[in-house]
Amino acid sequence: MREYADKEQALLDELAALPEELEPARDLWPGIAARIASPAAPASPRLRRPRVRWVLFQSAAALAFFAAGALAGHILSGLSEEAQPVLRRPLHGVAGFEQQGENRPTAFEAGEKKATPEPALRQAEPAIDLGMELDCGDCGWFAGQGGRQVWRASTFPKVRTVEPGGPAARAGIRPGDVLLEIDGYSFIERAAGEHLGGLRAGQRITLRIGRVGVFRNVTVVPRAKGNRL
Amino acid sequence: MHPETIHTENGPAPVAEILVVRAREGDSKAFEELYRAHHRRVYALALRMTGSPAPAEEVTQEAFVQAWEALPSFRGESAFGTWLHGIAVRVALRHGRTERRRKARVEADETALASATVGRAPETSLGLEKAVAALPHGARRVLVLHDVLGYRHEEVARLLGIAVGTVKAQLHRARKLVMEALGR
Repeated sequence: MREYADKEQALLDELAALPEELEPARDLWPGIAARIASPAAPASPRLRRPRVRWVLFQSAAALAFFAAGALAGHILSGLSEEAQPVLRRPLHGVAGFEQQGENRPTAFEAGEKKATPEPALRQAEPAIDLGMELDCGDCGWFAGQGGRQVWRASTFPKVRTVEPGGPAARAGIRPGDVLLEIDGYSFIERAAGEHLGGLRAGQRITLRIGRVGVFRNVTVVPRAKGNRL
Repeated sequence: MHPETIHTENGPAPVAEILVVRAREGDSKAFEELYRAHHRRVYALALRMTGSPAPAEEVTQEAFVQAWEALPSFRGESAFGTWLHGIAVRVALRHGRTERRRKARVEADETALASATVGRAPETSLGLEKAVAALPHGARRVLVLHDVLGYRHEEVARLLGIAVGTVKAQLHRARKLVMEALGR
């Protein structure tokens, strides 16, 4: 028995001492580079098949949801006396958003997964102003649950212009910077938008920004109001 | 180097973190540098988890592709290598579900396994590597996760979706089989 324990311990020592790194027989990077350049063409069908099925399922769900949203929007626009500017865009798993002035079950509440598009969001006044204009496709301020403003962005916003002397300029933000995180939240996460919406003028925030070859944290103090971030 | 552009509020930034930020912004060259720095470690993990070079290469590639896709969600709370390691383990485990194919490949790959590891590992560990690779699928996964990668019994059980008692039993069996294979 004692002998077996000694042998087992010797084996454990050998296993723990196995080299942490091994060189593959061929260079695997070209295959990876091809796949990250064209994600629609998976190199390994065996590994990718569940994902393909999932993407197809999501696409079908998204189409169905868009069709239902378009129909509901059409009906509601006929009933509503106040025409509101509506921005239609895909958002992921947004709970409790108002649609054309009515609260209705959302994709999140209905148990759909997070890539289900939000049919309609109402644009809203900004909650704070940092004195910069951004390029980020479909980012902006929207009316969240209870009319509260939230910020939404599906890509990392890039700074287009910075107002001289504004909060962003004073913090050292420059045109071309990419906004990565706010107070630890990634800018493309829903939590970042809700955190931004809950901020008030004078509250200090930390932005993590990326520049070519640079990253840094900057502290910004937002102003009361404005029409940009 | 570009001293005027590599700086943070706390002084010079670690190169790895700069590469991660660049890769997260879509710079595939930066990601390639991360690959060059980490691929041997991922491949070693994949080779031991799968038992042969061909699936290990697939797992390595898949792990890096998934890491690229998930980079925007990488918050930097852990080191990139640790984060990547977690992805590689999950990919290897999922790959293991198609294990039946492996049995048809093992013999053909035995020579390749030797050529993939020889020169980097001493003779003794080469024998050990082959003994581990020849283990039954379930026993090998438990042994590699616990004895080589250092996961605890509870973590192995959670990763594999089995009971802790089953992990211990598999581990005992795996060690016994390896010792028998090594003639001890």
